[in-house]
Amino acid sequence: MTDGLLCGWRIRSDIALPELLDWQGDDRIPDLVVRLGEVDERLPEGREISPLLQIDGTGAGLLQVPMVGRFLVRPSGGITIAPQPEASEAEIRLFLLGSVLGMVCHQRALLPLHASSVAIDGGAVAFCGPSGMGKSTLALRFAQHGHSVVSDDICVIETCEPPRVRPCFPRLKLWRDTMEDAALSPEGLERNRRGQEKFHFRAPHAGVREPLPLRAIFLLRRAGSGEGEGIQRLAAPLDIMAALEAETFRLQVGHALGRAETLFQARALIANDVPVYRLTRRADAQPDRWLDAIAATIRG
Amino acid sequence: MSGLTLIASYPKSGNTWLRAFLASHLRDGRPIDLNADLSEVPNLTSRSLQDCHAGLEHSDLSRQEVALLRPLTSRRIAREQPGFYKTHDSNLVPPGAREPAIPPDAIDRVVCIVRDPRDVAVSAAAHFGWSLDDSVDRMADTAFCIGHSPRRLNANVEQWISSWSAHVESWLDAGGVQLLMLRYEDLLADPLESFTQLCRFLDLDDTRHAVSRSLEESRFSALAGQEARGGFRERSRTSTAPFFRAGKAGEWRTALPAVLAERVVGTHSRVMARVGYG
Repeated sequence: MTDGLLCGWRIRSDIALPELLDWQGDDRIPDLVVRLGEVDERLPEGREISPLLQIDGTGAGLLQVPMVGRFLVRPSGGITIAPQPEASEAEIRLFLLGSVLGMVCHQRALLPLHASSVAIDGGAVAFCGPSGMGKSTLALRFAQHGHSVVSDDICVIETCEPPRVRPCFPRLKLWRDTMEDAALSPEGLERNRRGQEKFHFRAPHAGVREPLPLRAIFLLRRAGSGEGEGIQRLAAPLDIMAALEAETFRLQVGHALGRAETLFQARALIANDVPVYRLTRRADAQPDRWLDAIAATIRG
Repeated sequence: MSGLTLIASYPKSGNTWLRAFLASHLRDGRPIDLNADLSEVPNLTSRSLQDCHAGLEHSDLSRQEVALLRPLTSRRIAREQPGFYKTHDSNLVPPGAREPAIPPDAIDRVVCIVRDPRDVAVSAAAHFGWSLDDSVDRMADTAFCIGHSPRRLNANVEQWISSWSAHVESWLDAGGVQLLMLRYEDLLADPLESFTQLCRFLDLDDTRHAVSRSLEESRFSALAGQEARGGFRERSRTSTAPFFRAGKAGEWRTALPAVLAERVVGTHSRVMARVGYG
């Protein structure tokens, strides 16, 4: 099986990862190696970080998803998966390319934001917000207008100057209603989980290989009653840093791995270098209505 | 107070009224903004709260995994963010799980609100956009759950409700927790007395002046007026009426056909008698 490209890493895997672009880089030893194998139920000396996740003093993590399997993630880049017999490959990939990827980012001192992102004018634009706020929907609508999808759930930020986004893969997780609203059919697509009306949609444009400068971050929120819609730039660095902390993917994992300091520095760097906007929309707002305004905002 | 203090009820039984009262009472009787201040008694099953404490997204889990995870998350919330919460969960063990979504060791105390199921049937029909027939059927359905939208993300995670009778009894018979049962009809008939009892149970200010002031701020006409002017974010997407629709007891006598009222009584008579609905 060909090695894949994930956030700039060379990844070799026992299970196929069709979401990823092929590795076309140098002949380095793979950064991440995914193997199927035995995984114990407990991590010796592991500490419970959340109900399904333990982390030990070496920085290794163990994620246990009841009907999917156990994922042991070592800081060396070795990932062992013990799948449940009934788990499908799609379900295994869902957690490998989600929670496990988030853990790998924290192990490697990157900043994973809970955000989708798309390429606009040679840079990455990220959309953050709680589940259901329209992150993937906005990414989908930009993809339908010819923009590449850089990431879906996790936007991986490298804190250099200027901050850069390491592309994940051009796959979006979309509910049936979202797809049908965008005139797409979910027929034939993999389901997020068996029986669920949420699908894995691979965006039509070639994925992005190289890191992109982070052009802007939009914090998606819903308008309260009587509140107007609009885009507002956050001016105070402290507000930006608080917002970015709230939008950090698996923040507790980062803290458990001793990354509080580097995460703080990453937020400070972004607050200094990258414009951050609050995009307030009504619940029933048409997604397409905001595409031009977002592009215009970025272009100033 | 440690752990979760629950305002627990079958849907459409007066939970929001208690939350509105507490939202004012916990802030010294100040006026409440319906769309902001109910967060004083947040919904325990809110997806963002559950995702945050579970450390992953429930939208990536199967229904059985959610049922297995919820008690673990409840314990975590009880430890890290104790306080008042609203819930419609029953105190029953959902299929595939090993314990109820909110296990007793996560609970500090429970206020259980009960309402005449014939009135619940009328109110739930308007709230969920069901026919009265469907409403009566679902109240009899021991597999009834909410918080699951097949085609889109639901703002809440899944809650195992069961039938009206099973739901009510699951809380009334909860072992190992301090429990206060309040009937919606008694809250309406003598608000001062009932809400004073509530405050005493929750170790809140139970002086006549304080209770009256918070009752005034959370009166039905004020809540309905706010909804009419600015909407209410918790109103169901499928609702056919305002959330604050009638706020009355005994509406079933005119709104529920006799045959349906009899069906409710036929299904739930034992528990109805137990909580005083003859």
